[in-house]
Amino acid sequence: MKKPRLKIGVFGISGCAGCLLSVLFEDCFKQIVRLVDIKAFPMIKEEGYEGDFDYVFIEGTVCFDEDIMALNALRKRAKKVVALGSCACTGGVPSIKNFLDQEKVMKLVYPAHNHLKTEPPTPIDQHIKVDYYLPQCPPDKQEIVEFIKCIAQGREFKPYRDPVCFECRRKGNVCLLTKNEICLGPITNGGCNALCPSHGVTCYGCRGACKDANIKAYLAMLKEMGYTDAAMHDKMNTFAGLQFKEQEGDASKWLEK
Amino acid sequence: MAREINLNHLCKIEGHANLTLKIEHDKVERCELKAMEGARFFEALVVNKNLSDIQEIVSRICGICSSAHSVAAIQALEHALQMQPTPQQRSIRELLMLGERIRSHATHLYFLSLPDYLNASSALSLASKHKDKVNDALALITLGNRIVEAFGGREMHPFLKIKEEMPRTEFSGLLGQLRDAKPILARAIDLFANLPYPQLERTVDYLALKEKKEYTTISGRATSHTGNFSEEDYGKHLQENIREYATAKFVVKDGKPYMLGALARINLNHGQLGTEAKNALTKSLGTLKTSLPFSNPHHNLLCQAIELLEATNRSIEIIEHLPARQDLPQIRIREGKGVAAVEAPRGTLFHEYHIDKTGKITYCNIITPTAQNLNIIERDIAQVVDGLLQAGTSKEEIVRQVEKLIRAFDPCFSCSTHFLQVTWL
Repeated sequence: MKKPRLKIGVFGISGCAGCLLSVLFEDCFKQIVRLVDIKAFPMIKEEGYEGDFDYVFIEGTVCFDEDIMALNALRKRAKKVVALGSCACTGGVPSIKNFLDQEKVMKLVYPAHNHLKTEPPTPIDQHIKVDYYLPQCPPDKQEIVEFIKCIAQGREFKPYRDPVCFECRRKGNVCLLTKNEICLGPITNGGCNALCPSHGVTCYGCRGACKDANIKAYLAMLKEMGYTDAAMHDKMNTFAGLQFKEQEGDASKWLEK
Repeated sequence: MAREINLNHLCKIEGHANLTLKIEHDKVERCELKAMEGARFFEALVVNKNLSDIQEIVSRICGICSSAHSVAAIQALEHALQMQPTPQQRSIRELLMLGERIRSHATHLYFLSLPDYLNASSALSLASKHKDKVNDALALITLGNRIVEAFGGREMHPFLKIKEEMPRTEFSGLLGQLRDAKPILARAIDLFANLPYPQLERTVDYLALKEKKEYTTISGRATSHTGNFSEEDYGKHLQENIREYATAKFVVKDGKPYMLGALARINLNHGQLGTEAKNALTKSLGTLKTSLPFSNPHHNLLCQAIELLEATNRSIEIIEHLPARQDLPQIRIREGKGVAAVEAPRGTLFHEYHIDKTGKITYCNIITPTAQNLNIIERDIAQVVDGLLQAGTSKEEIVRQVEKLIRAFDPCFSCSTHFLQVTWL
C-alpha cells in the first residue's frame, strides 16, 4: 500500500516573505507539491486546516509578542520544525537591532509614538525547539528540494558544515581578504557554493557561524589588516550577529554604542 | 445597533494583516487595516553602517521587491555622492526591476488573486482543474527569475554595488525565453480581461513616476492628476502618519489619499506603452466595456497583466540594444543627502539617505508603496461594505468581497510592516 504523504505547513512570522516565495518558485513548487501534502500555507491558501503537521517550515524573525504566540501554537501542532532562511535560523538582518541603542531606534522610526510592542529580534530557536535548519538569504531552492526529498523518502538530511572558503577556493575565486575587504567566508557555514564571493561580493555570514571557526584568530587577522573592532562587528552583525557573538565569547565588545 | 467585523489573519496576501470594521446603523463608522508584522526598524538598522553595506541590508525589507529596494537605495546613495550612473548601469537596474515586476505580478495574479475568481481556496487546488494556468504562472515566475539572475547574480536580493558591471555572457538564451513567452502573455491578458470583476467606481488621485518617452521604472517625476514633483521634494508632498492600531505608516499626499501601482501607472503612462501593450490595452478596454482612466481598483489585475507584456517587450528591447561597456565612475566619498524614487511592482518607492564625510549613513527614510495605498484601501473597503450592508448581503459574502478588494491592491505587509485581521463581533 502507498504510504500517505507527509503533512506540511509553511508559515511566516515577521519577515520579508522571500523564503516563502522561494518555495513557490519553479521546480521547487512542482517538486514539493508532488512529494508532500501542503496542508497549510497562509500566503497562498485559506486557513481551513486545524490538524497536526509532520513538518512545519517557518520563515522570519521574532519581532513582537504575536510572533512568539504563533511559534508556540505551531510547535504544538508539529512533529518537526524547520527554520527556513537566515531570519529564522540566526535572526537575519532584523537582528542588527540587538546591537543598537533601543531607545534611539524607536525614536528614529516611530518618532511621535511609543505604542509598539516589540521583542528583541531573535531566531526562532530562542523560543521553541527547532529540529532542522535551512539557512541562507534567500534560502537555496536546491537545498529545500533536497530536504523535502530526504523527508519524503525517509533519508537523513546532512547539513553542510565546512566554511564558505572551502567552496570558494574550489571555484578558484580570488580571495577578497587579499583585496583587503572584510569577507566573513572563513567563519561562516558554507553550502551556498560561495555565491557572493563568486560575484565579487564579500560574504556577510547569512548561513550562520561555522561551528569549528576560530573567530578569535580571524578577528586578530582583520586587526592586522587595519580594521577596527567596530568595523568588524558591523559586518558580522548583518545576518548572524547573535551567533557570532555567542561563539566569540567576549560579549562586552558587542555592547558598545 | 453597533457591531464589529474582524477579519483575522487574512490569507493570500504578502505578510500578515487584520481588518476591523465598526458598523453602526448599517454603515461603516470605522475601518482599520492593521499590519500584523513586528516592526523591523530598517531605517534605524542602516544608521552608522557603511554606504557599501546598505543595499545588502535594505534589500531584505522585501523578498518580493528586493530589486526595487536595491535600485532605490543605490540611486539615492549616488545622488548623495553626486554621481551619475552609466547607460549600462541604468540598463542593468531597469532589467532587475522588469524581471522582478514580471515575477511579482505573476505571483499575485495567479497565486493570490485568481483563486478568488475560480472558486478555489488556493492555487494548490487549481492545480487539478486549471493545471494550464498554474503552469503559465510558474513559467512567468521563471522568466522573471532568469532576468534578475542574469543581471543581478541571483533571483532575489540581487548584487548591486554602485559599481555594478554587465556580466560578460551571452544573452541569446534569455532572449529566446522572453520571445517564447508571447503566447503565455496573450493568454494572461485574455484571462484577466474576462474576469467577472465586482463593480466599484470612485474618483481618487493616482501617482506614478513619469517620463516623456518611456514607460518608466527607475526615473521620472512623481506625477498625479493634480500635479507633479521631483523625487527630492517627496517630503513636501507626502506625509507619514502613524496610527495607534498599526505598525504600518499611513501616507497621504497633500493631505489626501491616493492610489499607486499598475493601475495608477497605466492611467498616467498608457501613452508611453509599447505598441503591442497599447493594442492589448485597447482591446481589453473593449472587452471590459470601460474606458481610461480606470476607476475600479479591481482592474488593477488587468493592468498587471498588461504590464507583464510591456515588461517582457521592454526587456527584449534593452537586451537587444545593450550599451557598450565603459569605465565606471570613481566613487568619491563625500558628505551629502540623496533621494531616489523607483516604480516597484506595487508603486512608487522612495528612499532617502544622508551620508557623513566618512561614508557612514546618518539618516534614512523609506516610504513604501503599500504604506501609501493603505488610506485608499481603507476608504474603498468602507464604501464597498456600506453598499453590501444596504443590500442586506450575508456576513460570509461581505468577508469574501472585502478580501477580494484588498487582494486587488496587491498589498505587501512586509514592506509596509508596517497589515489585516477582520473580527466579527
